[in-house]
Amino acid sequence: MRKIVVSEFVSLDGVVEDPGGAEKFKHGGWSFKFRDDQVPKYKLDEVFASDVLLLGRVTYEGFAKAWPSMKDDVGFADKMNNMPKYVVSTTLKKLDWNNSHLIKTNVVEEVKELKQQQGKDIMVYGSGKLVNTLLQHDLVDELRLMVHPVVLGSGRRLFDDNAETMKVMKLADSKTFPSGIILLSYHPAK
Amino acid sequence: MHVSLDGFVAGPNGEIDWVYFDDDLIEDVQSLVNTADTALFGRVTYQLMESYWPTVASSPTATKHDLDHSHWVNPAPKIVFSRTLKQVHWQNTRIVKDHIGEEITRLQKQPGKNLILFASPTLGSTFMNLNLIDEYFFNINPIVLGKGKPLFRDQNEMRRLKLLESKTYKNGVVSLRYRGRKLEE
Repeated sequence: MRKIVVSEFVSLDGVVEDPGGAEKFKHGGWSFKFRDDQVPKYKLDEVFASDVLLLGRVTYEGFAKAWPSMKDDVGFADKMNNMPKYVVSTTLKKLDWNNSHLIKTNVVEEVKELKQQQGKDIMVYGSGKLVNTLLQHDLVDELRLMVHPVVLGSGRRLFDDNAETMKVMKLADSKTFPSGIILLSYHPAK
Repeated sequence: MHVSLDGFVAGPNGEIDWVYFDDDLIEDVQSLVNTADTALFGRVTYQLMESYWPTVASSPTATKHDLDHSHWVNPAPKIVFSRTLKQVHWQNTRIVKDHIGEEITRLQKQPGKNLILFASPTLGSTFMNLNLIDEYFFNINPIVLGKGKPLFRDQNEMRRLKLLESKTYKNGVVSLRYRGRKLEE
C-alpha cells in the first residue's frame, strides 16, 4: 500500500494560500522570499519519491497554469508535468494539464483505492480543503509542514478552524534550513 | 507560548490540558522565565493565573515546577492590560488601561531584566501590530485541536521574523525562538 504524503508551505500563522503566486492572493508568492540551497534539494528528493499527485481544485488550477511552461536542469518540472495527477472537484469541467484525472464523487473511496495500488508516495501539495477531508478520514500517512519565518496576517489557513475531532500526531522528523524554514514532519499517532 | 499544530493556544473553552510537558521542556521554560523580572498579561490569561498561582504554595499536589514558578511569579511585578478589569487580587499587580505602546516603551527604558508576556493571544496580537515584540518563543505541540483560541489574528501587515533557535523534545514538542523585526522587502 502506498503512502499519502501531505507537504505544505505554511506561514507561522498557519496560512497556506498561494505560496507560489499563481492564485492572485495579495501576499502571493510569499515562499519565494525565503531562499537557500537546501530547500530545493529537499523538494526535489520529495517529488522523486512520489509518482502521483493528488490535488484540490484551487491548487490544481494554480499548478496547471504555472507548471507546463516551466523548465529546469534537475528534472523537477518534467516530473511534475509528466506524472499522473488526480484532482478532486465537483465543478471543474476541463483538465488542461497533462496526465490529469478528475475525482468528482466518492472522494474517500477513490483515494483509498489509489492507496491500494502499487507504487511510490502519493503527494499532496497545498489543497487545504482536501487535506482536511483526508485528515478527518485518517488517510494522511505523513504531514510535512515547511514553516516559514513569517506572519502573513491574512489568507486561507491549512487547518479547518472548526474541525470536529482532535488529532494527536507523532513527530517523525524536524529539520532547520539556513533560510529559517523549519520542517516539521508528523505521522498520525496510532 | 504553547501552540497546537493548527495554531491554537487553548481549546474553545480555554482548555490547556492538551499541552505536552516533560522535565526537559519545563526546565527550559523556567530558564526563559528567569531571564525576565516582570510579567505581562491580557485580562483572560491574567484571571486564569490569578486564580491559580497564589494557591500553589499551600497545595499538597504542587510539583517542584509549580513551586519554582510560583516563587518567581507571585512576588514579581505584574501588569495586566485591560479596559474592563476593575480590581486585582494578586500581589504586586497593576492594571494598565490604555496607551499600551507608551507603557511598554517606558518599561523597556527602565533598568532590569526582560519583560515576559505569558500566553495572552489577543494582547500578543496587539503587541505585534505595535511592533513591540523583540523575541517570540513557541512550543509547537504535536496535536491538531480542530477548534479553539487562535494565536495570531487580526495582523494588519506581513511580518518577517528571524529564526534564532529550534529544539526538538522527546515528547514531540518543537520549540522555536524567533527575533521579531519589520519586513524588509
